[in-house]
Amino acid sequence: MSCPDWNELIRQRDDGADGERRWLEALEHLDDCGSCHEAALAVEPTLMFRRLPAPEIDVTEMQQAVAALRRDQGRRDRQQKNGRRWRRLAIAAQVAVLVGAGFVVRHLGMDTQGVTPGVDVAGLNAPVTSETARPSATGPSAAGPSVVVIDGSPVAAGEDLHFDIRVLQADDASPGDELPADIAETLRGALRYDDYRVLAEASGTTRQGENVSYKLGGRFEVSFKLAEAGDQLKLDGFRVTRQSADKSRRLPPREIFNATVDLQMDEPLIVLTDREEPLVIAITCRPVQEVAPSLNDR
Amino acid sequence: MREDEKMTTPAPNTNSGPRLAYSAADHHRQLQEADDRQLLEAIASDDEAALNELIQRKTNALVQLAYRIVGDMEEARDVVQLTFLRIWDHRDRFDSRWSPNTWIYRIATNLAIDHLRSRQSRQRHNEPIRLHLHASAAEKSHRDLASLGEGEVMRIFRELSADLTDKQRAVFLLREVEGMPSKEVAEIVGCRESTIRNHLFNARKILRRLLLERYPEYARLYRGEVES
Repeated sequence: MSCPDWNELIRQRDDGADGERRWLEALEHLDDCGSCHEAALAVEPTLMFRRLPAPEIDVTEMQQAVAALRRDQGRRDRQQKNGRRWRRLAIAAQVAVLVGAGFVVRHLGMDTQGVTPGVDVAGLNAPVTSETARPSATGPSAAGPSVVVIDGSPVAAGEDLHFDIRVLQADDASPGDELPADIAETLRGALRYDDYRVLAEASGTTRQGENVSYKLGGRFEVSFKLAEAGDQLKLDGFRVTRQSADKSRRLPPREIFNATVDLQMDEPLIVLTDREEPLVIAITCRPVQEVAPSLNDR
Repeated sequence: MREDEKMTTPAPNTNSGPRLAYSAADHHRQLQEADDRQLLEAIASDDEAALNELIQRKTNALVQLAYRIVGDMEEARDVVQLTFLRIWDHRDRFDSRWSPNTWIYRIATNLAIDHLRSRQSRQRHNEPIRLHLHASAAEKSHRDLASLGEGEVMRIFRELSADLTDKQRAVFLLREVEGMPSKEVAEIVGCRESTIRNHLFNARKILRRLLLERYPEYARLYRGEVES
């Protein structure tokens, strides 16, 4: 746009769409044109406010702040909604936890000392960590433990990593041979069950920094972010949810486990996720050629 | 095993092939390529990644507008946080026939105006600032507009616009500073276009008069009323 006649623009700026369009175009022109500056201010001194500052802020901080506000609001909404109900259930819940803890110790025969309250971590060969664990109750069950097994091959940062994920259930009544022998052996050593059957499984690839989510068997969903790859793997936000079996009630998926998990190659990790339900997540990470048979070979 | 568990436990799907159900990286790429309307539609289906993408796109523009309306950076940041929270809470109310930008700016502008009104009702502290700035400007009467920094322009606007109504301030900023057409400003502020023109006319008139009275050194180029 060439330099406009500001006197004329001023007269026509509020006269219909054309006058306004020319005025707005002239304002954009003014921002970049040094020679128009004096002419424009001579007819409209308030145009000095075109130079109001345009601050910029850290967008990531804004995203985090909004996420925190949403969490806070959600918490307040839930508290408000469940206020009375919570009081009624408080005593019952305490009783359930006590009974559940006794059940797990008796049922699985595991030492639960020295681990995160509510989450039992059994590193079979090496120390492992679990942070910000938030297990949730899914109701008592007389079944043996369900197990999620993840097998992965070691990769360097930036390379694709292949994962096979299985949800298993300890079940002496229906022995199966789907589970790789070494994983079954590990589980037999950790839990007092001889046989495990695969409830669901899925495969996929991911790489460092990527969030992935796997749906298993229609009811389970496992999601995580491979935060660190190499000999030691770190899975951020390792989350397992299970959809209610009762589809008619349309209940949202229940979170079974949510934690940051550190894994070392060839060093199995078993996490007892709940004291009320003997649900177990076992994570094993090893070179893919050592896992036989691979899901992809079936 | 419990009886109901037996009935509903899915059979092992050992025959299913490898399937990556979801990749956040792919999804993020799709969102980056989506336009604002598609983003708001994704948000309406509870897509949190779409909200993050919207925050990525709109934060700086909204902070700029909120800062100019409320005159304080921290408060502007709060207003914009609440804007995104409101967008999420009301995500099912967005009608895809609307202009996404207008809807977003309307939320932000209303929150900024509410914030101003709430602040004004809490404390009326404009006078000391005005007197201080007036004295300060008088001391610097030798300065001209060319040497005026953005921060000082902001302080002068904040002082002079204290005499505007909240809507006059918002209309002036949206139309004269942000450069939006009156029709869009009317939709954002929730007025008729003729009302917007009235607000704009009065806002300019008040700001011009106050500028000439208090900061004549910055209006020395002004040759007087031209408007018919």
